[in-house]
Amino acid sequence: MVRPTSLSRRWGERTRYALYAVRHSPLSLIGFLIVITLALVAILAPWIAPYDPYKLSIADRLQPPSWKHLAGTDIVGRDLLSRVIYGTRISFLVGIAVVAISITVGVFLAAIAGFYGGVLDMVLMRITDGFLAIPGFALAMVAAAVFKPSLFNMIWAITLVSWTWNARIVRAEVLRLRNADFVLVQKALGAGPMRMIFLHIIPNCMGPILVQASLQLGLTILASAGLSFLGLGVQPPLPDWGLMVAEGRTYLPGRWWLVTFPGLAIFLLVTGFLLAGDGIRDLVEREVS
Amino acid sequence: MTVVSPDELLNVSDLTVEFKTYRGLVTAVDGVDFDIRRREIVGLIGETGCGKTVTGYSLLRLIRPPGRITRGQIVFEGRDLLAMKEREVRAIRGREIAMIFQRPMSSLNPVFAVGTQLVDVIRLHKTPDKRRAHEIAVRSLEEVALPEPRSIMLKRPFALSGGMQQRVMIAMALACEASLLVADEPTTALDVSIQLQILKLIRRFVENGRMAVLLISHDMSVIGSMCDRMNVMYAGSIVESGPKEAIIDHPAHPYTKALLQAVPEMSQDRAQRLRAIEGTVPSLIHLPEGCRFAPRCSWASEKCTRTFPSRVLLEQDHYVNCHLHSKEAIAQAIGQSRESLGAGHPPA
Amino acid sequence: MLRYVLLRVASIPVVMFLVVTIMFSLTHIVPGGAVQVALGPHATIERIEAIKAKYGLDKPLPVQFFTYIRNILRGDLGESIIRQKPVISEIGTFLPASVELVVLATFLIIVIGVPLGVMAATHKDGLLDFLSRGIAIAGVSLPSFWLALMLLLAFSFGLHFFPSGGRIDPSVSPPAHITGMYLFDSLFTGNWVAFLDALRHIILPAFTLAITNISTTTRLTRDGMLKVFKEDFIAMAWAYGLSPRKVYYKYALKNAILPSITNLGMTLAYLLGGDFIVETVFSFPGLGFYATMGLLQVDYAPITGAAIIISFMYLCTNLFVDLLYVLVDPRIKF
Repeated sequence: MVRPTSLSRRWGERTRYALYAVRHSPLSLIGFLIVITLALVAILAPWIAPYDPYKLSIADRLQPPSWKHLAGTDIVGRDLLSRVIYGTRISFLVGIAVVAISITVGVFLAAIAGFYGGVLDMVLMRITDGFLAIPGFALAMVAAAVFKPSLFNMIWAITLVSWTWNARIVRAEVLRLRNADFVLVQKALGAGPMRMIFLHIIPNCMGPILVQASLQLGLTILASAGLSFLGLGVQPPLPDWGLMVAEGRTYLPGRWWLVTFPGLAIFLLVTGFLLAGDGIRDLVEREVS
Repeated sequence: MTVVSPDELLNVSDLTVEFKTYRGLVTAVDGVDFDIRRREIVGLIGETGCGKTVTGYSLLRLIRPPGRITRGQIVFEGRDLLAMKEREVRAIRGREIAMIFQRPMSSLNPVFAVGTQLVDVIRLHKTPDKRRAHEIAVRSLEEVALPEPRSIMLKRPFALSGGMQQRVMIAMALACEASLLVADEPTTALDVSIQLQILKLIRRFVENGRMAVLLISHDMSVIGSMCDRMNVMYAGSIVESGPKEAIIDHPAHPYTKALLQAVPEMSQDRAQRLRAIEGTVPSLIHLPEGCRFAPRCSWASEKCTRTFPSRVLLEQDHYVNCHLHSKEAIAQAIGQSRESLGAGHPPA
Repeated sequence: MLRYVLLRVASIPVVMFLVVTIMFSLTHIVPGGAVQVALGPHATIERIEAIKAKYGLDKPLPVQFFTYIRNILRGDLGESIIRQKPVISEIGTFLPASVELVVLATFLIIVIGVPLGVMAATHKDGLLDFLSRGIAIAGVSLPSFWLALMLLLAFSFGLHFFPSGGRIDPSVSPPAHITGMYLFDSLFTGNWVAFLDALRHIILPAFTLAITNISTTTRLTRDGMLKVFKEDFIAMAWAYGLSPRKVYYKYALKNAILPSITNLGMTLAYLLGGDFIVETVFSFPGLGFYATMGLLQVDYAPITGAAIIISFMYLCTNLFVDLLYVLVDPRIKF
């Protein structure tokens, strides 16, 4: 039985290599830790949060951070810490939704266009160019404003912008691998185009796609925070971080905690994704060389 | 053996270079000894990965982490390079020991004119005066037989052919009046017709007494035609060394023999087919205890796999690291042939 | 070479057409009248119909599209429904402010980002590398609105070094209008009071923009330098004993800087998108501010007009940068 041993040896090699790479890059390790921790926070929110994030308490409004409310309270007396904790859920939801859809659409379109080339490819490229010509955030804003602002619509608006990015990268990879030896071997063995694309080429693109995905997660969260800040995204009373900053802005400079904590949360999560993405990128690049 | 003759330029002893990789510790160069005298061309031959390039780099202390020179001495004109401070070594680089690389097309900085790079180096090592440096540069370009040297000074490297670029590299070494040139596969990347020209050029400068050369190559024909003495390297250590004629006429180490047999002009037996050496180079992380060539050697014995062969002097200046040539083995062989021939006959 | 230039220039109208189409589609997909939304719930039916008729919004879609394109080619970007003013002239007043802001921000990016990247490369895996990469990443992860607010808190409300918004103090009269860019105009006319005041207003938004966009430049400079370090000619430079300073800053940097310069062009183009958030938070009256206003008021003409202008500038800047790239590196041949 040749396959099992070679496979397990390959994975053993890979883990050993991954550990080496991670050891030499503490930043990416920190990134992974942050992401995992916050993911746990999101999942365990109902058990971690001290208060109900939607519970109003006018008597307690605009309290600075204290032992009772570690992050203070907002204008209607909701505990800020609980809201920030629940906000983690929204951020992950938006991030994963956008990235998942973008990758699916982008991979699908780009793989086919890149593989077949010709008119199909050209058309796709022009369309992507069109989308890319409009600075991403502008397009997302327009899209978000056009459809009534909501969490759901915001996800679509951001996806509308980010699929082009995935499409570009996948297309470049597909073009690179299209004429690779192992693909030609498959062709000689009689594999059909669909099989070649999805069974052979795409799996070999996973590296760059993964790198992109983690970066995209970070940027999506930033974008959603920005849109919500402007009022074009998540709507009250949902505990979205960007929205909380906007709500707290009117009470500056006095009540600094309203703005500081949600912002810190955004910063932390995005940093986590970006650092992790950097780490994955180093891993992938080293594997190539 | 520690007497330094006035003729001796470089003496390397017990040079060991290790690289730390995630797979383990790679000993790229293990206890290498050789020397170079003035006005001679010494060859360092071996297949890819045997450590010859690393050896060359070590001479200029260009080994960087994860590589490290862990043992040895490199005595150049009486001074141990490995014991010097970095700043002192920098004064030697280019000025006394110069190096040319395998791919001349990438050895020159593409965004600067050829002249700028020459002048930079000359100003550092010879004279800070710009104009004088410029003149020295032009003169050295003339010496390497480059047409219209002044216009070449202004050109960018990509405007020159591979052969011309390599001449520029040699000119740089000449301009700095280096006494030792380390040439790492200087002709491998060039066309065959150009190869000959470059080699002749190098040879001319050696004969004029301008410099000595350490010629590193995997190509036996290049080494054979150029060198006065040569060192054969395998898996990080030198297996045979000596004058060219000695080695080519009666190679002692099985690896050397195999190398020569792989080159048609040099093979003793012209009627024989070209023989490739079977097997592959051992992993430099898990080196065997005994002779490294043993797994591929047709004459290997049990002793060969167990103990590392020490250096044996065969004849004038001709050394080999092989159990076949150890004193005991020779004595044994003589003893056996005596027995077979009967006493009274002269020894073989 | 000329062919390439012509090809690129010709591609701009094609892409612009796509952009316009996308904009048009987006704004006309909305169910329920856009006009109604813009005018608010109190508008009467007659008013809505009247406005619709005035802007030709009651005609079938293809006709509207055609008219739209035709108008754009004529330079007419429509009118703001709310203010009843032509978009193109409104943009004209807001544009110079954005240009100024973006140019200053780009300058800051170069001045801070490139040295940071070089430092990171020369001290690879050391503390300085760690720090500069940390700053670069922090720059990206910091939400621009948050950084803006934090800076305001610290320097404006806290220390009172900088004003909290706007472009120039109401008490100071703006400089004579030459380009519309206050810094340039006031310098040109020697109006120091206006210059200093405009500078005070613009520095925080520019800084915010710079910090949040510095990471790519730093990373590219660092990556570029590291890649160049592996090149043979750098080994050559070392082999000839050149000093580290010379090797890094002369031999390596010039080779490494190209990718970060081209990216800088892209960054400039991107920033030209008018950072909506920064301008909004600082109430800086630039293109982004204008567009955001339009978005919040759901006034379509300003939105699409601004988006189109931004896209056009973006494309042109990209083209300019690409051509510059070709000029700088003569190895690229067509």
